[in-house]
Amino acid sequence: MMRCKPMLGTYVEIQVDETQLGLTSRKITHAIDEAFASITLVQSLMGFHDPYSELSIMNQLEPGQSIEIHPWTEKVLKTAQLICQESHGLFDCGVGRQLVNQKLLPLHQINHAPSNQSSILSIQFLGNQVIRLNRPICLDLGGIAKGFAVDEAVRALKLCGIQNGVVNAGGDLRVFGKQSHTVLLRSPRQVNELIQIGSLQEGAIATSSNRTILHPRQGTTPLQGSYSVIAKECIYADALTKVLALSQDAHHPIFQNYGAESLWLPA
Amino acid sequence: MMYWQPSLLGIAGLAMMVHPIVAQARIYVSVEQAQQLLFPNQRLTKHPIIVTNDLQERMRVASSIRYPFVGERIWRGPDGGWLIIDEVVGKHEMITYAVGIAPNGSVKGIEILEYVESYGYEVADSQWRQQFIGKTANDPIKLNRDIQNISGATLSSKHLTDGVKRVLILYELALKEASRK
Repeated sequence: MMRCKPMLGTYVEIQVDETQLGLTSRKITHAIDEAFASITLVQSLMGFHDPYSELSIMNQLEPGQSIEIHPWTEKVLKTAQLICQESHGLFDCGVGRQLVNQKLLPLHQINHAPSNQSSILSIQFLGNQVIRLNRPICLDLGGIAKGFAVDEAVRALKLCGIQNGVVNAGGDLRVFGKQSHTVLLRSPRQVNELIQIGSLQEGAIATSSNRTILHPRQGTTPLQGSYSVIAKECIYADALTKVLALSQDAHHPIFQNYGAESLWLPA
Repeated sequence: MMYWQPSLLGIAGLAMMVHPIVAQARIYVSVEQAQQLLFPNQRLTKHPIIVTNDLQERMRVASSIRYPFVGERIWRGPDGGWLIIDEVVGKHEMITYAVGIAPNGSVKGIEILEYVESYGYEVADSQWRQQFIGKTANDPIKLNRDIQNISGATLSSKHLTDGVKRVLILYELALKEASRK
């Protein structure tokens, strides 16, 4: 069975084989519903467009204030902070204000952060999902939360007993199970061409184009092209595409930390 | 254990690994499946309506979708819910989708039925055949499965958002009253 729903600003596709050992079709349908529900939760916690999301609430916090957040939000923030450190600031979700200025995101909230000071590193984790800010922030989790949503959808499917399948959120995709899957990439040169780039089993691939990536400090966009990273989990694949695009270095040491492979197709 | 096998020919850009998209269709669920997913265990009755010029115009203004809405694919649930099937057409894509509306008028859920991408060149089925090249009888050949896991270039769901807007206007102006009867 293959289903698709509009979510995360794109189309999320879930493919599950109809013959799952020991599962009725009703149970398979339920599993897919659960997976979509996980993605809905990620969207409602971490969406920039939603003025009531946890992310939007964090973006309005004053320095010194602390709040309790959902464990999923905490996990994404911690991962984002780690990758920010390991990439020496190349991946920094603090670029929200710059994306607003470029009209890539809507301006709907009061945040106290000037564009060049906002950084994910300003978040302090106090334990038990409580965070405090050192400085005001304007975060956009668009570069990592989609990958996390895919991972949570896969986790939900597995918890329901699904043994193999594919979750694809507009190009951030993860496959699981014994089968290997051919992966095609939209050509950065020709919109009507797909390039077969390889086959993947038990892993994730994410691709970013240069248009939506901004350098956290210089505000510049990378060279035209498509930047893909293959990793075990989609959250890492998603975030690391930005490191690849901004470093222009397919052998950046960070990829080794995550057992990741990178692929850069120039336009 | 993750296993990644890159196809070097494809990465080098050799033509044999490039699949031109002329018109690829991805079929997700049928009308009946969408009904079951959005209104499980409910018996829906078909409730086609005639879309007046006035209604058509109001839907156009609210959604900025220009092509007319066809009022044939509308169903009504026993509890006052509605299921509407509509299409949105973009420059290169056509999406058929179902919207479930709860008795209180809120969106209960959306399912995509079909997604067709088209680049308007000669209509040929060669790209379909290409997908089967190199497959043996042991490979599970099934459209939409085992094939076409596409990464890259996020497709925006903006068109669909406009589509849902016009469906909600339709509900507000033409279906809501009928719910009460």
